[in-house]
Amino acid sequence: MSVGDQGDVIGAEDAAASFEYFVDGSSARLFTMALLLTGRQRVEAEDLLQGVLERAYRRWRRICQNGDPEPYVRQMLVNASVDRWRLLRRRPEEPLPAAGAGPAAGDQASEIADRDLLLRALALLPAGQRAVLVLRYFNDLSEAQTAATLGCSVGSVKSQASRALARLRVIAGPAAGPEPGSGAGRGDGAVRHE
Amino acid sequence: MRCVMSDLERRLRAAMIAAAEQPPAGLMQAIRRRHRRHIRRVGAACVAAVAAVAIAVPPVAHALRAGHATGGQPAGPAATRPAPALSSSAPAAVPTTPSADACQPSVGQLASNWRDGSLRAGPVWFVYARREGYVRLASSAGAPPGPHRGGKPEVGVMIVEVDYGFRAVLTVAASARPYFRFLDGFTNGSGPYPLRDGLDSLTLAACPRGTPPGDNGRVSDYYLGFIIKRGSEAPVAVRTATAARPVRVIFTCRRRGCNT
Repeated sequence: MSVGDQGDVIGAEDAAASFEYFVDGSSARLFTMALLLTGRQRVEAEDLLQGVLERAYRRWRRICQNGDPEPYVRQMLVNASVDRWRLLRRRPEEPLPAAGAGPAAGDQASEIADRDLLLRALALLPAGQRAVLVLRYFNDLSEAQTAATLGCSVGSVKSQASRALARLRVIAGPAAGPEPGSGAGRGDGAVRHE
Repeated sequence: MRCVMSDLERRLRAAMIAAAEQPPAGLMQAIRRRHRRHIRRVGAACVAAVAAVAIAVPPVAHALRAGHATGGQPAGPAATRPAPALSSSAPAAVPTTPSADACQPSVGQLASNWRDGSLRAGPVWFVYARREGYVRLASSAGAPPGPHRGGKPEVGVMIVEVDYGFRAVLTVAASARPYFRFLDGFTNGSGPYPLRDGLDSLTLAACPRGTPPGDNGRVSDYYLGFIIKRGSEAPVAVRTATAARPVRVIFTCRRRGCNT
């Protein structure tokens, strides 16, 4: 969708209509992204998304002039989540519950448990690393696009992603059998500090 | 070109996609509510800012106008005295009222026609009071209104000239003492002046008659400080040795700020 294609200058009513159209079309994706960025805390994700969309609404005409507004709003969302994380970073990390035996491949319940474990492990990462993983694997952006969204270098994206994945490996471990080159087995269910 | 995903990356991607949820119902309404709240907050901040400016500008503008009208602040000795620009929040910048017996021919030059706009009470001249209206002669018709209800104490300062050879005693009427006092020596640090810092009476002793004329003629110059409840009118008796009856003047401080 490209709201900006409607023209460079849009009136107030057009802007309101185009904003509603954008929210209708993108809110599900953005809300899931907010959920992932906030560590699946639904209330905080709603608050984050509402705040970001309200700010976007204020400058909607300007945002639309640059073409597709979604990357811009996505960037606002990431920045807001990092800001929020900075405010809350004194909060201590919560240990993951003991996972018991590792999930067996092909078992649907185990698969769900594995996803849950991964997402909870994701929530324990620093906001910057979490944002990199969300942009790379949820929004399916390339390293260059992720770097552009986060306003950092491609090298920084690579290193952040590498550190984040290494930490996830430690926390969540392999799903079925050892991962080649990982060198890390399944954890004991508690967060390990590097 | 994309690298091949590792197992962990594949699992992570699948987990993220599986985590997709529907947005909360009424998202658009919530955004509109937030936006209205934001508009209200910004509006309130603007109103507060405008109110603050409206309160601050008249006294400052008046002080500046007074400065221009008198050809700027007197040079020379005035360099050691801050200009009479005042506000109740910064009384430390107000100049000192001279001590009662000091003889000072001049603290700087006024416009040559300064007497035209000034109010005369015997040998005492309230400079530009006629033009600005911050002091007027008391009329015989009724007493001046009392303290303005809810008026805040305001510090004011004016230039007063006393003819050579005279000694004038300014006494605040008893009824006005709860809301008007003179300030003798602005030594209150940075805090606001409370009424108790002021004086009920002040003596201005001009230089002897034989003293050479100063910049403004045969007069001694004084900065006269006072504190008054804004919006009030205070009767003051001006007594000199030669006059049989005191001259009564009314000091005022209008709602838009004290005149200086």
